Amino acid sequence: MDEILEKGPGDDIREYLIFTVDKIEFGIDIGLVQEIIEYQEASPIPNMLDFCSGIINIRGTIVPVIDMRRKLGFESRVYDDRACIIVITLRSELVGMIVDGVQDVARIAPEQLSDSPAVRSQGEIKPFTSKIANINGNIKQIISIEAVFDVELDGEF
Amino acid sequence: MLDAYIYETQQLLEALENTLLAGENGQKLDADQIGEVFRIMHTIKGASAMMEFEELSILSHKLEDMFTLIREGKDPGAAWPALFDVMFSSVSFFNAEMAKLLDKQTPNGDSLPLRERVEVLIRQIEGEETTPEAPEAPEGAGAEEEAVDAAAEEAEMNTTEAEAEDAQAEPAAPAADSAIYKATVHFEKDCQMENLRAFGIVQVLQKMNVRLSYLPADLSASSAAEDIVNNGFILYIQTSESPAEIKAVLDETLFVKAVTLSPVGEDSEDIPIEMRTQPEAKGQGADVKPAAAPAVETPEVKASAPETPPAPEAEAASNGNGDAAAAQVNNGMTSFETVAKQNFISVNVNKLDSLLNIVGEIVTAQSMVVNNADFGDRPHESFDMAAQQLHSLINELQDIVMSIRMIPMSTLFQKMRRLVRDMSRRFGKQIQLEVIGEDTEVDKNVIDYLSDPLLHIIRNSVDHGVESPERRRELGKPENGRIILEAKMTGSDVVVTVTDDGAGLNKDKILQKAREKGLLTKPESELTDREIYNLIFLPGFSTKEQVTEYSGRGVGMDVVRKNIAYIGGAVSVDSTPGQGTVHTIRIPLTLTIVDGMKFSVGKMNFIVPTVNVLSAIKPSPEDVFKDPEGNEMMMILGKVYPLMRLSRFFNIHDTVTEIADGMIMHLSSDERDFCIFFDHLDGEYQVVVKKLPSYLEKCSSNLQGIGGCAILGDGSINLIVDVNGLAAEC
Repeated sequence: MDEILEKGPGDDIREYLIFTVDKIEFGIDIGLVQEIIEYQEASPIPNMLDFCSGIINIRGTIVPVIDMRRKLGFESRVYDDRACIIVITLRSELVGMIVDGVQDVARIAPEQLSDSPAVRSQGEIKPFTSKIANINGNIKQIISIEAVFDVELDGEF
Repeated sequence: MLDAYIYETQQLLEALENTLLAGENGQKLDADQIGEVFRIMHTIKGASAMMEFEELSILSHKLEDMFTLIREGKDPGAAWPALFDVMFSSVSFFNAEMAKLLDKQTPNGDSLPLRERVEVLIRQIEGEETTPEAPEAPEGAGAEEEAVDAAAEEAEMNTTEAEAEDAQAEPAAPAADSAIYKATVHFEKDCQMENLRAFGIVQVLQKMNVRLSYLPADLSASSAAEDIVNNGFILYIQTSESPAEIKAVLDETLFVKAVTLSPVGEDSEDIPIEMRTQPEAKGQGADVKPAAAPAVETPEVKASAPETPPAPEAEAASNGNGDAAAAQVNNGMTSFETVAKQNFISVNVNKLDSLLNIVGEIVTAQSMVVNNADFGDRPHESFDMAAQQLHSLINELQDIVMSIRMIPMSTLFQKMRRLVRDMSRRFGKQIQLEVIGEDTEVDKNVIDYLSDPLLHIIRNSVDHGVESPERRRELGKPENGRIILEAKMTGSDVVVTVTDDGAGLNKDKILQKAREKGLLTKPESELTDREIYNLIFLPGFSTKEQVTEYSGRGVGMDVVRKNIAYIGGAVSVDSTPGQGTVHTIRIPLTLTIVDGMKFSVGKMNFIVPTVNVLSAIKPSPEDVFKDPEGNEMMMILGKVYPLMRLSRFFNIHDTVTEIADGMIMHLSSDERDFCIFFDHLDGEYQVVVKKLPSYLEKCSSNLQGIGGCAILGDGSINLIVDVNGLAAEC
């Protein structure tokens, strides 16, 4: 991780990959991101759950792909060539997430982050966004990997 | 260096064990085998001495002595069985010491008891002692003597070690009137491990008042031994000792065939740079280290020495190379035998995995090139021909890569032979191990995980299963018990069975035990015999009252099950009282190659292992009918089989629904035969089975019936049908 993050003025500044789903900006800790590839159609799997798009072949590795629109509760649509698949490492396996587009990498300091209001209102149920980043009035929602991908991870993302 | 030693010694031990096992059936070794054993002991002795593992080298020395006698024509006669025992114990001893070394421990085993046994044998073979009972007294004395010897040796070893350390820490600055000599050492042909022997020389010389530089500089490099064979081992020695003394040291070294020692002038171009910088170095004392300390530890020497010999030397070297090359050609025929023995190399499995992935990528890239849209409609005949050639080459490459990971079961089965042999002696049983299908090839992972479970099952069969000869005679069975170890491929699985003709499992005892330990989850009356037998795989179950060295610690069978489950396999047991027990281990072909038929259902592509396919049929609607519950049946050649619509089972949309428009495949599973209905049949393929990513379980409500996936040449993903899994659902 140290190699990826440049040591800035504040050491706690973390980098987030900003992507859009239905015109809303989301962020994901860049440490998890393996690569970003062009959108490609996934092969379906048996008894596939609604939010899953199937599996794709990335250089010989089989990677399950999640459709973020459907996962986050937006209307699904036919993806165009601006759509991407963000490939992340999840418990040493690769998992892809289809997003409408990838914007940039944002450096966000802890003071720019606040807990998502949903954290308080929803109680037991884990909300999909864990933090809200306010960058000069621009709101970006940091997604909770544990909630979106239904896994338990060591460390906080 | 140490790694090379351990690796080579282990290989030799394996070869030795094989030779011994082969010979033991006839209760003697033939001349070739004796020669082989002798050579192996000889090599181990030399290498162990070089590495200064005294216990190992003394023991191998003793064994070598014994085989020298036998080789000279003395027949051990009645002593053969004892001899085999000693040899097997020695192999175990060596192996244990190698294991310690691998663990970075010091090999501290005491070979004395073994050496005593060898002594007795030697005396027997020499004919000095005609009765084996007699040597009692002299043996005792000999043992004491040897103990003293060993202690002395140990002490000596300690001091030499200390000396060696001294030498390394403070290389003696040679006296001012020292001279530089160039020594070229040639070892005897085929003495093997030349680099180790060269290292031995370096160690001896370093204890003297010298400064050293040598070629090849990196003795631990893989090419070092070959270099030494070709060019000799070249040393530059700066010393105030007399040349005769140096020569004597070199001559004394084992396996040295020829030594040339000649003085070279101080400023001769011949001398490597680190020797020429002597003036400053001398003053700095300890800083001379790079030159004197073993090269293996000093990167500077490694780096500089090969470049140092300036022009004349380089010329000489190239001449030397030429000569060596010529010599090699001459040796070609005679050294062929030794070369053939090193046909195998060990490779990190991860490298093979990435190789396999890359080949997959190449195939995909190839189809991208060949089907490139830029060609348009223009004819391109010569391109097509080139593409065709590329295609067949890539196919061949793919086949080879796929086969690399596969290894035959024979190494694993070999271990079992040894185990059965040792155990049946220990328990006074007569058991023959019959091995079937040891050529069955499985993925390397499978071998690794199968080893322990198999050991355990066979231990159980020998210890608890097969009865003693007396008991067998009473029961009217042949005195020789039999254990059959069999491996075979059945469709999507590798099946390994261990069958013994022993007493079988005691149903009542198992039930009672299970009851006592509260392991029963069903009413006893509902349990089938098979279910009762398989209770032994539950944690904490052991029917043997007494704990023995080999089995019966009560942790056995559930560990077996866990280990096998780890590679996705299953183990079961069945038994017939009085007639024996069959253990069956079933392991899916993870990462193995499967010949399969490709078919599609909607947008989904599947591969079904060809071995499971009985036939593929273009059905007519009247062959299919429904039972009152609405289950579909298919009539094939007058027999009725259940019919499963995959589109329904896998929940696939946009598929063929009319029987007449689709295809039917008649499949066989372990449990029963059945039929599946799908859209299209797309031909036969050979594929590598990949594990499904575990995250997929979160993406699907039911993956039953899917055993893995495979990527085809065009990059498309196909799901591999687990026929047994499907059968359970229909």
